[in-house]
Amino acid sequence: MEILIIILLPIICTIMIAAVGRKSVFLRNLFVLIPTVGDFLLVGHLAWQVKSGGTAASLNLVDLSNFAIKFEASGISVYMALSMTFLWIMTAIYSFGYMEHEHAQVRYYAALVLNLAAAMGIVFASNLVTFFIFFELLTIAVYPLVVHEETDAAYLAGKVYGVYLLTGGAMVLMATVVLYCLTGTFDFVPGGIPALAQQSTFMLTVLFVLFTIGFGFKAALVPLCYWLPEAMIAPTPISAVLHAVAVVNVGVFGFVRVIYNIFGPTLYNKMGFGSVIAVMAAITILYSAFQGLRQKEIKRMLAMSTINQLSFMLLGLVSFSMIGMTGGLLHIYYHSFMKITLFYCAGAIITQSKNKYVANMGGLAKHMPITMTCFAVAAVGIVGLPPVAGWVSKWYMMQGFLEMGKPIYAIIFLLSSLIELGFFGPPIFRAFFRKEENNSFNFQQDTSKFGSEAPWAMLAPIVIVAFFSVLFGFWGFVPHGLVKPALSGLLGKGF
Amino acid sequence: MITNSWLLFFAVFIPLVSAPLSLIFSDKVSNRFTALSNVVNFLVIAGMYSAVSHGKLLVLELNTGFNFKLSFMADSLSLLCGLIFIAVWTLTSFYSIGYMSHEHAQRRYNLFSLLSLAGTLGVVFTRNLFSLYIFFEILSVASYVMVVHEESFEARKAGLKYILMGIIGGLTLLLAMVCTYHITGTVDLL
Repeated sequence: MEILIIILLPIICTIMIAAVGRKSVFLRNLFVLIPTVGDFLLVGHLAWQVKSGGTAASLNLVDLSNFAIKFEASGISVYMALSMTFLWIMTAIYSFGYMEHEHAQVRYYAALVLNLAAAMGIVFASNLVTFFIFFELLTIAVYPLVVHEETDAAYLAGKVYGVYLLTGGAMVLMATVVLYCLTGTFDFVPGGIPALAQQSTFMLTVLFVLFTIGFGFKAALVPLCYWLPEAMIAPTPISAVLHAVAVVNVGVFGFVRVIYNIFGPTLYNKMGFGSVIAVMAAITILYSAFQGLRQKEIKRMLAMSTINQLSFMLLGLVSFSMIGMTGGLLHIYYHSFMKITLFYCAGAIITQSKNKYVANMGGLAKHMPITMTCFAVAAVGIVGLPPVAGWVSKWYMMQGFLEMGKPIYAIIFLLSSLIELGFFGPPIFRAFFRKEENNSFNFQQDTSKFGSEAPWAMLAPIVIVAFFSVLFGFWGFVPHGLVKPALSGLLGKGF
Repeated sequence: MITNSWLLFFAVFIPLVSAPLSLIFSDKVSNRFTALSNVVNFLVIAGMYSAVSHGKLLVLELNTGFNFKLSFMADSLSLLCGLIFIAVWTLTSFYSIGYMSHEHAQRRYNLFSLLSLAGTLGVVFTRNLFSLYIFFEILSVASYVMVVHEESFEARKAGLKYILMGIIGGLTLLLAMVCTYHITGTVDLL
């Protein structure tokens, strides 16, 4: 029942926003807040049930013999949903500030709320068909947000985005069909679908390739990741919640489902698929780290960092040791909070100082001390230094690589952390310790003490998510307590 | 003999909590507040002396929710180091009241000097590598800001060297700890 409300509430509110949004700003904002806050509370309730060991809520919407739309609030579902819904509330509030003077706000908010429904559908789906339906809904509902600017550059980015991600969707669809032909089932089974183990190596490889390409687009693996920096043309809250949290996390989540619930870790490892993914992820990490050094625009730099961190998670997930997988799942959570902080700050900087280049950030901290402090804190976390979240998950993942017998990946981790310092260091350094260069800022108000900070609707989410990023660094109860039920639900009893 | 003691908690968290507080005052008050916080901290650490000199081991464990605990201890070595550090730091903070009175960014200086102190004391009083690493990195990042305090070209050059060495060292230390845990199954020091 809860799951039905979680998914239907945003859909209904999308329609309401479209209906009344043009007439009343108050009603529009209300219908943005109702589904986000409502979903967060409901997911929190489900998380509490999972944590205290109750039976997981499930919902069979359609249940025909060869087609079913089914949902289940398993450990991993609530784990993913909890951070997403919370960050969606933050983004909604942030958008009230950011979008205030933008055009086409109704379209924007309607799409934002519809994407919440899609994301919730994906994480709660308990078979591949349901997963696919919402996966495609997410792809399509993001498109209007990518082309929001309605400039030629935005249309071009939208084209790249559409071609890349719809190709990915088509691959997942093919994989779904192949899987059904092979095993006669779509359901996610803890520890993998048993019937798959008897299939020929050829068919398994085909399935693996299809799934990897399909989810590789959203998880931004190296030959498939070029859409992500392009999609940064979307408004910053969208870059924040979708291209740093929801869409890309869904890509990783797709890998989680394929590895643990379709192939199963044993088969995946036996076929050597895990090593393939690990090598791809390692290449992605190094590629994006070096690319990040070259980026001039702050948002594109953050996009490269996202690509980098996503591959960290994948590496952790295919380490197939308990601690490595825990680290991979934890990193999904921590990365969401840190990267969304960075994006929020980038948005505040771009709107307030009308400057989107890293090189022009000199002396910015004098004008926007709170924003830049939060930026620095989150960047320290992304590099992987305590006490900000992210270092514990890196520790766990490195532990996983040692247990896997591949210490080379641990060294790649350290190398990439160092390179990331190379691209987060300069903007922070410039902002705090350099003087303003040739009047690069174009502030609206005076530049007295806090005169140039973003409005409170943007500043409050920045401070809250930055606070949580720090808190999670040494207080692990919330995500860590949920990882154990999530992993035991994913792996089944056999592991 | 092992005894639980919350004094350890206060020793590390007094500077950690006073660090952001030092920002809310004016420059002049902030300098004095920093000195006061250090004096209180000195008294807290000195308060552990009698127990430790009678051969007790003071410990404190804080559950973090991770696989590792935030755990502190005070044996005679760490108390000796801790007392030296806090004594010198207290004297320095009084000296700074005069020395820094005409400097720029005094509150930033206070903030990061307190954070460095927290890092130093955390490293000294730590009982496992997990908490050691947290405070070690707080120390290296916080002291970087004091290295570049001048904001001159020389200071920035020195700062770059400092932070690179610090971070490379820190990340190597992290790998070393991961290996230690992998081999021995524990990160506890004592």
